[in-house]
Amino acid sequence: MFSRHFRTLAWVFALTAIFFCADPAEAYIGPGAGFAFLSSFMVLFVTFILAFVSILLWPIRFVWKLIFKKRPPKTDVDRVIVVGLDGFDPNQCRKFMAEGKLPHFQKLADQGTFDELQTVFPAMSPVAWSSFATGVDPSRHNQFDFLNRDPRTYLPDLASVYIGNVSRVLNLGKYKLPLGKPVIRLLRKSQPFWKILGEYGIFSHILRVPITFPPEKHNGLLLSAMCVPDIKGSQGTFTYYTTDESEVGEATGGVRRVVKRNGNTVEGDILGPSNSMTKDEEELTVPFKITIDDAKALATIDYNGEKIPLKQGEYSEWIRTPFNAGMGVKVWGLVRFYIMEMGEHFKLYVSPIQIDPEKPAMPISHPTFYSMYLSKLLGSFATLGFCEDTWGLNERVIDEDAFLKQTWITHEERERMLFHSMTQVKKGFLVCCFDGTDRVQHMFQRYLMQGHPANAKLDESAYSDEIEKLYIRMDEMMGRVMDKVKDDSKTVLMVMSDHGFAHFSRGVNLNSWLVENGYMVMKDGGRTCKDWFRGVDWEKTKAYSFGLVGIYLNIKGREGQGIVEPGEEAAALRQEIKEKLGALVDPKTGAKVMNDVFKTEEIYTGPYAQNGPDLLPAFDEHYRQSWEAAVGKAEPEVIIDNVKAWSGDHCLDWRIVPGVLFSSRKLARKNPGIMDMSASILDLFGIQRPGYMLGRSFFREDSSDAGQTQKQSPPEEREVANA
Amino acid sequence: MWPIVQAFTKFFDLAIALFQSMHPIVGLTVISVLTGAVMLVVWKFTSNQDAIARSKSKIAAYILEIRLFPDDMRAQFAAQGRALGANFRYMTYAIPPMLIVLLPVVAILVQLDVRYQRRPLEPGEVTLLKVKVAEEVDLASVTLDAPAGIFVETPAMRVVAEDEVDWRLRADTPGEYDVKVTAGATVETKRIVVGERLTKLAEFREQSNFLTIWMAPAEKPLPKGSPIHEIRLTYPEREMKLAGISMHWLLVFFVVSVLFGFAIKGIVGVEV
Repeated sequence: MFSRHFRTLAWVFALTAIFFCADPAEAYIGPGAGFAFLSSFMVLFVTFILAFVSILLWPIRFVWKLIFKKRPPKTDVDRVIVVGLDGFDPNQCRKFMAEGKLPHFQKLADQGTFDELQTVFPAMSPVAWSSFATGVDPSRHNQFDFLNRDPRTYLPDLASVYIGNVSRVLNLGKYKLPLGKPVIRLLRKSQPFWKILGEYGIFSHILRVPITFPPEKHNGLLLSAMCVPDIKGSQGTFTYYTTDESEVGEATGGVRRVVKRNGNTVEGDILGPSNSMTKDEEELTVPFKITIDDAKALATIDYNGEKIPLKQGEYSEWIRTPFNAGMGVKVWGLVRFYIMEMGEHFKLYVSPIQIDPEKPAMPISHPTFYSMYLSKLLGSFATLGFCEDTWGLNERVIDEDAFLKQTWITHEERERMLFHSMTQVKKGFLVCCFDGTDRVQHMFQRYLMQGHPANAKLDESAYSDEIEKLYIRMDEMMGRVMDKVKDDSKTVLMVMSDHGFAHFSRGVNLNSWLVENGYMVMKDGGRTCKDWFRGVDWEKTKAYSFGLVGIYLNIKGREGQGIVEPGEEAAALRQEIKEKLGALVDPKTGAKVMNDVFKTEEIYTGPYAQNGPDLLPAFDEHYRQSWEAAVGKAEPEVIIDNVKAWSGDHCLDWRIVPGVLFSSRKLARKNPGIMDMSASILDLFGIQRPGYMLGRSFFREDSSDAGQTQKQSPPEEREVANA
Repeated sequence: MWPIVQAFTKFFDLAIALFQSMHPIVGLTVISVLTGAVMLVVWKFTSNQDAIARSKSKIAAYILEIRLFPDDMRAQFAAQGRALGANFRYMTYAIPPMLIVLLPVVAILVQLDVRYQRRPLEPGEVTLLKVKVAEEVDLASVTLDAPAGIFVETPAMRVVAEDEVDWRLRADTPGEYDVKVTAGATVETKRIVVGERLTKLAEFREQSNFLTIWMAPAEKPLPKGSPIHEIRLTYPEREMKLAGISMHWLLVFFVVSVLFGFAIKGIVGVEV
């Protein structure tokens, strides 16, 4: 300790000596020192000015708050922390807790409550987290799936956000300069409860809660998550460079490119966004050159003026990447490199290009500079909504190890944010969501099932403990979180998930089923169509399906080429499909595929119910909409094996995939639901839930309609399901 | 040591000669630009670039943090404290490269100082020549011989208490002259420059030591042990004007080298 202080004093002395004892002419020692001096002076100046302004404005703000802000009654809670573990499964929790592998979760359960958290239908992250945020069901927050359809064209749109082009441009030669900002609009309806907290002067930190893009204003800080695009505007596009020509072909979620190895170098381009500032809208690129040292098994990536040494099987740091759009405009992205192979062939994976949080191409936080602040303080981080590259593994451009490394790197970034925010939030609300729990279970569930079709050619034992490791790692993190709040009786800590997990081994192509049953007809009279219904004869088609959720009727006046009359005809058709589909049996196993098929109004009663599918199949475990049907394809077979690494899922009967709820404060009643979270957190701060909220506080016994997630799941029914 | 200083001075003579016919500020600007570039590169390789970048990032982050919590005075003051702390750490990272570039930059500044701080005498201007000698030297034996072009206006004035003899000189014709100072058997010279040329000017000759060799490079130091300790001549201050505004050469050097360094730091890839 002494020597450290001594060193500090020595530096102070040296610094003082240089600046005060030297002749003025000799004190100036070049531009580096000049900058150091000037910028240090600026920092001093700015901080003192800000301090002065803060002191000056504080009384004004205080009085303004006193007059205009609502004040909640005093409660015994100063702070609520919610750790969101996407997809954390109650059955796995119970199992590992029983085995003594989750001591911290066990402690939290013993101290307060551990229960299943009923999710919503469809049991998907964008839907469930929207219900978490708003306290209402999908028919009130307008989120039913990742995708929504444009009924005029039958083509998909992102369900949660609309990103439009700039309406007016100035043409200057080959350039078209935007005169304004592009429209980015959140399509989730209702309002998040942290807005209500803000009205009462309670500050909220919202970190990576899904469906918060574009960020909404509120009294607090927010970093957007799910549906934040990459720099190309997609939901994540990897690029895979290989010298092996046999590997090139179509890829979902990314691009495969052949590169040539010349001697010990490989050259290529990082593919960026299309240039919206030019009339040709050419793809912006940044070149890279890789020099391979075979003897050392080391590659040096020469990229954007940096030389990045990289070994096989290692990720690079985030590399900042400027795409030059011309006229001095640069679009900044972040990429990671990962070398899959350096032997006979050279294989390089480049992550989807993230929006650089330090220079965001579009707002990804509230306030906008919050992402800059986090990046400057904690380092660069992944910003893409779906930043663990599950398609990279599905397409086998990365292997399990590379996927896991990527997932844990992202998790560590998020952990740093959580722990940093915990030090800042002494009073108020903090929620931080972790996605790695969801992604690892999606991709490694196959190792928990003997003979999963996705593992047909793989060693089934290789990653059989990954999910266990995941739960243990979350427990260890929670241990550290609990340690930080252990002496704080005014903090309520909750851990929750939006849904659980089930096996997904068989894909059901609802379009193929519709074709087989005469509800969908092809122009060529065949049984198949390409993606997004290419080949479908809409004049003879009565129903269609895409996305992961349900079936839409081709209704006259609603759909572009609708043929089903609304009213009686539609109702009869819906009833007919419901009955037939409900009886669907898997020819391979003889098992019933559906637990139920619901008509919209049986589930939803809110104002946006008509935006959802007309029929909602509740798949039993092992079944889900097939990958092909999700993109509007029809295939020869209705039910096929799921051979993708994505082998765990939750887009099935919501009653069999509830989430978890751990709370340091005991719940006053049973059967909490995800919609109850918002009302419960408001309640902890002494704020009454607004009338539109369906959720009720589970910290009160008198909530008779507590946790009613939808009409099909009254409490007594869910108790049976839980049992 | 002196040959090295001479070579360095010669290099500057040649460099300045290129701009002899132009406004003095032109040469100064070019030298400032080159110095800025070279020192920036030296800074790059002698500083802990990662640590500097991290410190700068943190300073920016803490300043942003002040704005993130407008209603929380405690958080704001904590952020301000952290910003100042990070600023101090940033300064400490700047010390090692500053120490490394200190000597070359001081050498350059001295070369500029002997050219831009003062100007030669103009014909008709007068100045004082002061000679300091050893205590044992009889001041009456100290004499001065001036060549044509320099007129000695006064007889020698002897300041016994200071061991000093002074003369008042007048510059008559442009040129470079060596006046001879004799003290007993010892004879030394002192260069006097008259005219408008931009050239190095030595205000004094002192006995040789490490510091005088580097700090007074315009004229060879007096030999060690000489009974003549110092010969000093006062030149007028150079007034440098640009667009009617008078400015000190050091300010020009500072502004130009910093601005140029700022302009190219991205190209050179330097964190400063």
